[in-house]
Amino acid sequence: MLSFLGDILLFPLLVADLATAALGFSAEAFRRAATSAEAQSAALLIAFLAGVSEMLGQSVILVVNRVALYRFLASLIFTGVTYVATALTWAASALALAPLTPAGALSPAEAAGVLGVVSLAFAPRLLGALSIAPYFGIAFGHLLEVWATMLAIYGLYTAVDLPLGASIACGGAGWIISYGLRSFLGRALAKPLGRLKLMVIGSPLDKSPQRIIDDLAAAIRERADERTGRR
Amino acid sequence: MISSLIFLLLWLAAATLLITAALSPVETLSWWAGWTDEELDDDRAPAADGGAPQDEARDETRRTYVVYLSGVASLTGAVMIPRERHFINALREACPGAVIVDDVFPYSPAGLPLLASPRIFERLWRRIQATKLKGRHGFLSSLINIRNIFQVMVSADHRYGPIFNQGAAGVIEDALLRAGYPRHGSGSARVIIIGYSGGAQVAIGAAGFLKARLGAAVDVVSIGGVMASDPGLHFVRRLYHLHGDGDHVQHIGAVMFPERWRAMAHSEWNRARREGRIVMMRMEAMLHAGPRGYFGLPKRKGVSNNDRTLDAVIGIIS
Repeated sequence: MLSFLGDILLFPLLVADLATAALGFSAEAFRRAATSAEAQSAALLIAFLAGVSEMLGQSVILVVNRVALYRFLASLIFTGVTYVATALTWAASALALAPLTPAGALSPAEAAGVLGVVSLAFAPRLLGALSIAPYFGIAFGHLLEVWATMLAIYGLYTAVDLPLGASIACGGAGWIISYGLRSFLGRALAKPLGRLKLMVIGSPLDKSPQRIIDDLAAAIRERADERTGRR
Repeated sequence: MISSLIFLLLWLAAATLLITAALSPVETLSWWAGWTDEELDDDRAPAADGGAPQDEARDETRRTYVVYLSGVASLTGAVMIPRERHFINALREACPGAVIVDDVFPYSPAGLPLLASPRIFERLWRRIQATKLKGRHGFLSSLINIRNIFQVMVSADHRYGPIFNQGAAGVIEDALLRAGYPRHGSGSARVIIIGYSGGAQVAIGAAGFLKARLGAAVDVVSIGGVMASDPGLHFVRRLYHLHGDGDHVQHIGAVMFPERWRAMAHSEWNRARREGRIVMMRMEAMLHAGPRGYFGLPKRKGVSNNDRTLDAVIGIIS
């Protein structure tokens, strides 16, 4: 019982330790994520928290639509789950691509390792909340994305022992496939996903900062038309 | 040992700056979402029916309303440094036909001054003000500048700008109505916003929303303004940019905001420039701030910088 409680208390420390090490391209951290089941769970939690953090960074869209606070929190969790799903798709894409590379097909144990590595590569996105910073925040967000992709390639190379070319192919192409698939599924499943989003967020999120400017221009045009009509 | 300590301090400073930057849009976002006490009234008609109509008959004769937005060293709209106060008083004397509004705090979407309650760092801002009043301008004073610079960046950001600037326009509108702006008069009076330093960015950002609410033509006078290529420029009738040839601060805007670069031909800034709506006015031998700044009082060849800036602004207003 005590050891179970101890494990629960130590788990956040493991998450923090793994994430900080991964940020600095630590081969040891990626090896742990590839071999230890506990580290793989921690890596999945990192992917989830990265989603929460990124949503915080992009929360302007929720705020512009004046989403209620509890729905705001629900959408953070929703995005976190989406990120775990993205990590799974990414890992599956890498596994599907591996037989086409000199590395060949990967064993089930290695498959779990790939998932751990790819999830851990989401660590830079834990800083995603900082992309909320004005003006330079967007560029910072893109920087984190590049950093995460490089970590995935590095992790596959050092921890799963894939050759460099295969790591680049599996990491880079896995990223493209998972994001492409997400975009395709986003379009194909637009209606049910939209309904799910509406259920969680409570708003179709149809208002954007650009829409505010467009509304402003329309209001000014309308006023000018009214004046012309009066004359 | 010393080098690692310096490295640690630099790292801490960078981290603090990044976290401060990340927190800077929170006030705007929570204000817009209605998460603060200051509930947003989107279709506000603030003092339209109740605000200061007593002077309306008198003000109907005044056709120009001038709003002054102070620089990033500002803590509240009510207090100005003596040089700025001198400038505003002289402007008021020189333009008796214009109403001068000078109590707007431009670095908050709700117009909430830093000294107002409730603010988390209210005590800190009060302490800084006390230090400033004693004439000491140390590190603490620069905290106000940093805080307000981030609000200027919020105003310039395409994500937050439309929200922040809408709030700023509401604050300016309220101040105009308090000063007797003839909202229901026969035709709308002209509005000129003078923005010093970062105040110029807020001025161009708010101009469009103000134009939509008041139905008035809005001109902006930038005094050493640090401005982005804001969508609000599209709605500004004319922007007069007074820039001292020794003022490197105003130049930061031209470098820091890529959409102001000439290569970005389709940006709002360059479009307004092509349409002749941006008038650049060079001010010889002027710095951004201090005794040799735009509001400097020491005389050179019998004329102070304050007088020269005043002459230029009077020329625009009249």
